[in-house]
Amino acid sequence: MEEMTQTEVSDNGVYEVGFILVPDITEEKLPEAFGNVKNAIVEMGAVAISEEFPKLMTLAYTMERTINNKIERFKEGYFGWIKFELPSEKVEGLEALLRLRTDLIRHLLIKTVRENTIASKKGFGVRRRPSGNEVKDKEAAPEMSKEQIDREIEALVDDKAAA
Amino acid sequence: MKQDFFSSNNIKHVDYKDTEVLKKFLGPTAKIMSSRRTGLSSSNQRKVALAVKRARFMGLIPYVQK
Repeated sequence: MEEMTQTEVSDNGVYEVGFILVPDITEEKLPEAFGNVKNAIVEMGAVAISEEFPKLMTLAYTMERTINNKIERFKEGYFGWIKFELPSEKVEGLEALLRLRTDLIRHLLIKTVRENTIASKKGFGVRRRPSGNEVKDKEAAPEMSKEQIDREIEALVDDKAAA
Repeated sequence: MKQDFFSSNNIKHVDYKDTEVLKKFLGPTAKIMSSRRTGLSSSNQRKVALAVKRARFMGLIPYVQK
């Protein structure tokens, strides 16, 4: 598969579409709605790299979207994203296609990189304090000199011999 | 924060979906902190600013906090 994608087009860019689906969709129909969005992207000639299934979330502020000439207001939505590879000349077409979809409150098409860019999932979420313990640990380790280690081993061996 | 968070943790890309990380660089009213306060390098400060603006647009973090 990977060989195929490489040979198909050489100047492919890696892009990502983040989108918010309208909250009117029920949980059962969510896979279908997500599939529709994904199909629309794949039909443009994109090769999906990674994705996150939409999750219901409370929006940070009320969003407005005109759907069928009616202003709708939303306080929550299903946020998901798809990362894919697409020839750069097709990006504009995809953007136009997404703009017409009425099942999306908003979408965001950005250029990105192939590897995972979410740092907090790698465990960087916790703020590290490099001063305190780490330095002490490093100093504590070499303090155990060879003599000390030898002495401890000898003590252990003696204990065993005595037993 | 005096040291650059991203270079000290060896993070090369700032993702707008990563709100946990982005919130470190927001003040109490959800404004982007100045580089003087964040301690980031200029290029990382620009990356954070762009990511915060994208996250705001997608409703992941607020434009203003009461």
